[in-house]
Amino acid sequence: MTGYLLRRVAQGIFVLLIVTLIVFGLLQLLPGGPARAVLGSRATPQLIAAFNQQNGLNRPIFVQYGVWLGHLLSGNLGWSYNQSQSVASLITERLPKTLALTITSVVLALLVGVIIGTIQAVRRNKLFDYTSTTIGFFFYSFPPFFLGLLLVILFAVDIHLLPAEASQSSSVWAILGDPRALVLPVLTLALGGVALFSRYMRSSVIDNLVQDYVRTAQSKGVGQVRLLMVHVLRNALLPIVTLIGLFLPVLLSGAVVVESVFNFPGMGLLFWNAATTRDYPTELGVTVLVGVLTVAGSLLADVLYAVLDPRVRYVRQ
Amino acid sequence: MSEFEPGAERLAPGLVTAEPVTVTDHDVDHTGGDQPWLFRSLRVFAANRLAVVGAVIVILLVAFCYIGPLVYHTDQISTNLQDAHLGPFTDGHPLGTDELGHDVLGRLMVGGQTSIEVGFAAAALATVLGTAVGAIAGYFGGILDALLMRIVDGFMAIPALFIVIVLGTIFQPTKGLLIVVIAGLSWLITARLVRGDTLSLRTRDYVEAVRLSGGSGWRAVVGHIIPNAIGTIVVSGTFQVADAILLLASLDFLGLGIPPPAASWGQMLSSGINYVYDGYWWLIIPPGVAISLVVLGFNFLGDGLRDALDVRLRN
Repeated sequence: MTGYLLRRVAQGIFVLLIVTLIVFGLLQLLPGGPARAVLGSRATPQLIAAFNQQNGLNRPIFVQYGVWLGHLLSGNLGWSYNQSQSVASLITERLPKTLALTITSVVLALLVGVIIGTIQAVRRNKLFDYTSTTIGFFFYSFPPFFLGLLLVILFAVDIHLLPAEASQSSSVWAILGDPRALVLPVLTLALGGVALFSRYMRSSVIDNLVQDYVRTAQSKGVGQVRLLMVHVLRNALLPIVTLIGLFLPVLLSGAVVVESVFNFPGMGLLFWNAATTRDYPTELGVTVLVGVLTVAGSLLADVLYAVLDPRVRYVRQ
Repeated sequence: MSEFEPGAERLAPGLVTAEPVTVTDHDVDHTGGDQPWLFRSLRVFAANRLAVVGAVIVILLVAFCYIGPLVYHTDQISTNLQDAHLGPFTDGHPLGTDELGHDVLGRLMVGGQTSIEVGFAAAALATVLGTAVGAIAGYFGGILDALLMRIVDGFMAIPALFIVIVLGTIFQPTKGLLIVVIAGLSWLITARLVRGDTLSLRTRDYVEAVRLSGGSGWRAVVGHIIPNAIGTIVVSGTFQVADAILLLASLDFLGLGIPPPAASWGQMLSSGINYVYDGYWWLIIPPGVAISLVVLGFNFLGDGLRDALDVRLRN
């Protein structure tokens, strides 16, 4: 188990290094280099030269990378001149809100997806199975921005049931305290997930229903409900754990779109506003963080999987 | 039989490749005797109702975008503010007009051309690149494989949308650039899947035979591994088209796609969003439905092709 974990963590760290290399590469692509990005488009060549001298940007590229990586590791993501604030503090302000949004969405998507998928598996090739499959395929194909707009038109413009804009409060508690404003953004993010999770849950449950342990349990006289809830569900949920890790990048890019549709003051909107104002330090800071979150998420999913499924531990050893 | 999982391969390559890779029967004769295989595949495909629906959706949309403008003439270039924001079915505009007086139905046709062209070109490029990287990594193995796969992992860790947005703020997007960028970010999953196939194919006798008879690795990859992994390549290529169109639409929606006066579905949606509260639904629903339909079509199609080509499901 520890051997597996250590290997997995080492691999994760290596992938993180690649992530930083990619973002460092993007930094080098900036028009006029990092100096221009920080000083703005009207900076004089003298100013740029002085800035390069001061920040070591005239040194060899791998030294620059080392320095930049050192800054990253110490939590220094750069300075947003547009907003006169450090990128790290901008992100710390917004991240909790995005987490609140995405975690709520994922929990909702999981709950609904698992329930629908299980019912589909039990009553497979019946009416419910077909209809939910078709509806799921539609939701999966809807681009999140279109889904968000549809929900706004339906629930905010036509019948004024729910607000079309998220709470603009600076505190995450105020945002959570205004559940009505959260409904549409959460639904937009969750519906695609419901389609995905129910799909996998359906095949996972079907796979498990034909296993020997199910027959054993049945022959022991275990009731249908108990069989499903206690025996099958636990096993069928295993692949879903991996799926959550893989769903993370989808969720984070969904957050950019959804936050800009609903003006939700989270990290996605921060990134989006940074992009429209060419605030490169903020853009790249968020990009690095998203990479870290994704790697950490899939690592966590794998670890959780190993904890939940003893076979992984023994096989890998 | 037709177990479809939306984007199974794309989202969960780990789940798919974790199973023992069974690329068996394509190993059959590619030298003329593949007629029965082709027919059998076509039969399985035709029997899969969703796949046929997908193919029909895609064909109808392509016809709509390319044959439509030949029949239904509209002016999508000059601005005509007098006719702005006309509702559907007024003055001969079946879907109304937008804020610049362009006929929405005609714009839908022209805009669709952009989406479909970029989608196909990016998917084709990504598939070629992914196939090459996957086959090379899988065949040669060792450090090269480890390095290439970690690069894939690294790029997969940063969602494509983020990188595309950063690039979109650095460069002025053109059609060609968008194709290259989208392809440059979408080859990853194809590479993983093809690598998985290659790992099992390279131990086959006929590949061994090439090696033993002194054939180059290049010859084994191009002549034997890639033709036998063709099912995987085609299926993932089909899903790539859907993904590329979706990514392009997100970019257009955020204003980082192809700039006007060129039209695209995402861009139409993006300008329509300003009029949500005015009730001009015809600026939003038609392009949104078009994007969803084309994505749905390619997802159905990819799924059907997987059933038709995937040997695991064939007898």
